[in-house]
Amino acid sequence: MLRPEHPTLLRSARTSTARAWLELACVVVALLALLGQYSLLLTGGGWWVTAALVVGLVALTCAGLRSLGSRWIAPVALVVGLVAVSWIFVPGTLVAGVPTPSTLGALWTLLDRATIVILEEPAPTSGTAPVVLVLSAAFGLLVVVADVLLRRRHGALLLGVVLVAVYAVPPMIAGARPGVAMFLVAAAAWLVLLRTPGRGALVPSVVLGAGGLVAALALPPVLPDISAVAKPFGKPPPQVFGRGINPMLQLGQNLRRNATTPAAEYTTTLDDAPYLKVAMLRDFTGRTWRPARTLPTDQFEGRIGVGRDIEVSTERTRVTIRNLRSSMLPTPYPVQDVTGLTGSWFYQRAGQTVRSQTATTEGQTYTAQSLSIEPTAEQMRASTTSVGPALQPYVSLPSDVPSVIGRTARQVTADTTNDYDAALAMQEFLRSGDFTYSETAPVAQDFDGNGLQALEKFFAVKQGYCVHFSSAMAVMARELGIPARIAVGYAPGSSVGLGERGTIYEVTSDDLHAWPELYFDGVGWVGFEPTPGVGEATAFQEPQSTADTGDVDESTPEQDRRGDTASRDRVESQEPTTTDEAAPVPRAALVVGAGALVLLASPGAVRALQRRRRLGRHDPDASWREVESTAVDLGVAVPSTGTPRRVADVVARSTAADIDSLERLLTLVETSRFARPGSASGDGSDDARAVVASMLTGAGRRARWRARVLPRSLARRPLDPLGEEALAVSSDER
Amino acid sequence: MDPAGRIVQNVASVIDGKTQAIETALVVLLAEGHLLIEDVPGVGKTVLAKALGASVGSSVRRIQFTPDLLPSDITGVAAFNQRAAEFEFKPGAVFANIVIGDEINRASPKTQSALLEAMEERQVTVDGTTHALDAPFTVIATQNPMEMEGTYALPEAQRDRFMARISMGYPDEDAELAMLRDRDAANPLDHLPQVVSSEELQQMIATARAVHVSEAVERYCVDIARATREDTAIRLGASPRATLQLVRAAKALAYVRRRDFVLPDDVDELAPSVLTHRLIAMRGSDGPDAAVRRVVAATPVPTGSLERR
Repeated sequence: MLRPEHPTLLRSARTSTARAWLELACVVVALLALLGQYSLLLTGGGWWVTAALVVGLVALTCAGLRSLGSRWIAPVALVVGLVAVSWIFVPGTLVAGVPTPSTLGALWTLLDRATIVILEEPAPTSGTAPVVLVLSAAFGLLVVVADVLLRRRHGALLLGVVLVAVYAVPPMIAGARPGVAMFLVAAAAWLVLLRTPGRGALVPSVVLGAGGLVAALALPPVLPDISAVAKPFGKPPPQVFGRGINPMLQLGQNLRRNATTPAAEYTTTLDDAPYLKVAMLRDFTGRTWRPARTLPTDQFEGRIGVGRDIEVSTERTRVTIRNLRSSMLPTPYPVQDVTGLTGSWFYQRAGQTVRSQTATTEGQTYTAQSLSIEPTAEQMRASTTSVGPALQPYVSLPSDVPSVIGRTARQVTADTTNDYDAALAMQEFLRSGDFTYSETAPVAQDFDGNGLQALEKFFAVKQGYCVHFSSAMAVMARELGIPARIAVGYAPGSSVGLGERGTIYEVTSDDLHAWPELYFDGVGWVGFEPTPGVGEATAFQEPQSTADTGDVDESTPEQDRRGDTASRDRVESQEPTTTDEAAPVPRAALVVGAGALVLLASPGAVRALQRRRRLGRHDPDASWREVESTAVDLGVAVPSTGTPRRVADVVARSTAADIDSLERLLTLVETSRFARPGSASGDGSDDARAVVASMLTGAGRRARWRARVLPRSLARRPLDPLGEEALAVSSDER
Repeated sequence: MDPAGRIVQNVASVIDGKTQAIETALVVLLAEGHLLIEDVPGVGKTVLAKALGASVGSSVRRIQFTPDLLPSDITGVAAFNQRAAEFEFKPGAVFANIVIGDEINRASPKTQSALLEAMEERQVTVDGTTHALDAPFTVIATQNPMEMEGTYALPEAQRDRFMARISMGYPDEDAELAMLRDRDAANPLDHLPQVVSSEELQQMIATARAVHVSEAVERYCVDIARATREDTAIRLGASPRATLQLVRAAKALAYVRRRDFVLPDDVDELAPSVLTHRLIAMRGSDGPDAAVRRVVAATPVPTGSLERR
């Protein structure tokens, strides 16, 4: 009475062709939507196409293999993904399309570079080859993971967790609000996956899924800013001018960007327009400069420690932020108090900067009270710094500093007797003479960074921009034992008019700047300007009246007005193209074209393969299924629970099938299916070929093309041998 | 022509345009089942039964069921033979190869059950002595629709003993005209030739019984039967006996269609006549007829080979 359970058959029924295609289509839709989220991290659009192509190829492989009933889906799909990635990123290493050991080496190199970029570049970075490679490979892998999960009983639920994780990463890194539209698309695709039958209890899954959806939709608006959530996960808090980890690299990119956007406007009571400091970098790892972690021993900089005989005045600077979104506030150094801010802000004791965990600079107008510390040159020369534990981090250098830096530093300062003169000598050495300002040279020569390698090249090429000059001077100073650090912020900008509070200065994205600060006992941190063409060299009033007026400076160097800024921007920042960026982009058109072709041709190709396979099996059953599928392709309403006889009847009436062959094939199929085993003779593939051919040739041209390009039979659920599903459907209908 | 075809053709010469009913009747005969023909009077129920009997050269007895018919009229009676000074069995009307029970639902339930017992047991017991019935033994009972006057409805347990129930239906226009012409002069039954001998019929029955039923088709029959039990529109589903008879009938139909194996199509074709009269539909549903058709349409047809691809 009771039918025996056939677990293996049930499983095979679950992995039916139509479901495989539907599920992987959902996975692709969800992943492509989530991939869109990564525009928070990557600029441009070529990377999306590239990653989408990899995702599509891997998904096609998985779906194809699943519909063929293969057991080696994941390994084959991984190999396909590898080949695709190699073909896109390191095509030169392929031999006849096959990856070689050198391919793996090249990929490894790219991955290595990607880790540097990911670790050090600020959030919206250009889609360079290493990053796109990582993204594409990760998403290709996700397809395989999804496929594996979907073949498990409750895998679809688990897949939801994976998708949410993928969704959450970009907003976390970028500190932006996650996009709702893409989330809805991905969530809808996931709900379809949950709805696919054979996934166990349907109602709990859908209820759970919908509940999760609502929760996920409701949560982000409630949270103040998701970047606050990101912090406990070990990510450093958002930095200067975006959400990147390292403001130094951001500088080069922002400077090279052709678009100039006004960042802020300010009026000041200072005699000269001040530098606006945003961040301080203390720790030099050899690879890059990093912000200091605040220590309890850090002193509140400013007036503390400033000698009594040194002239100090308090000045006010009123800043209106125009177009800058950052969690760090541009202020003159050393800032004492800031009024007029909205949101919660706090002082960073080391570096004397102002930052916030929750608020941003957007739309802020505030008044910063800062000190103007004006020692004389004599006082500066008299300062001798003894490096204690608090200053120790400011003189530490990695062990592998190229000898050229120390040698140069000692050469340059050979005839100086105190720190101040040594600093002036180094500043002079960098500002004048052989070194020239260039934003493009480092990129072309591949030292666009502030690490040791970049410095070594900088000394060889003698071209670079503020990042290199400031880094060079700071390292040189440390070589000499002078505490040094790097300030990042804005050069003074240019005056744009006269307001009621005095001259209005405007700083733009082109004024982004980095400069070294050196420590002098009794004076504090003093900014220097080693970058040629920017501002004026720092120098304090000499006791002799030879260089009297105008040479009296506050601690930060004064900048030459308009002319210099303009020349720096306009002359040097013409060509923002980089070598890395160039890699995937020229191929974008090819990739899009190939992707479109593959997508367009794939159903037809799969169907053609299926046809060949079925007719080549010399099995009456397979032959008959082919006849059925061809009829479905041609739009014939083949009864889905029909016997061969009924199907043959419909086929004979609605198509131009060759009747004699059809009848022979029908008899053969019936005999092989229902008669005593062994009574069937022949395999019917010839008859099947004849029937299929006559059906296709007899159909109209449009129907034939439709059958070839968009075969409907691929979307049709094949018959279930045990009738479980059809029965379930019929009882649902009641 | 094969014997089955000859029989169908022969009977069809008497009843025009009723091939389906004739074929089902023959199937029941070959499957050694019993047939219930339910229809209004005068559409040829009795003629069908008589023509079938005449065609196969079997003994045909006809019992007109009336309210005063006694069970002994059917089974027979032990009468005292005074000359031999002993009880002697006088066989009743049931002792024949084909027994035509006319208007079976007009008899009292007691008499009905006497016939139905004989149908199931294929023997009668009178005064403690068991008398086996000849083979083949087929009862072709006719029944007027329930609503008609003076009828006792057959209980479902007894309806279950009939392999199939068919209804004749009115003849179409042409068939009715032809009938007028044929039957005007003489009763065509008088001249109906015998086309199959009694031995041939036995042979046919044996061959039909040997028809192959694949596991897939067996499963299909079971699926259909189970689906009727689970269908919410049906109060009483098909019994296991129904499943058994469905398979037997399908084998006979396959034989009639000159095949030595059963197709799912055979099952589909017979399911309405074999199952419908056994089911009791829920009040307010669309009736057992529609339910069976729906179940058959919804039950997936096996592909034969259990291993796919």
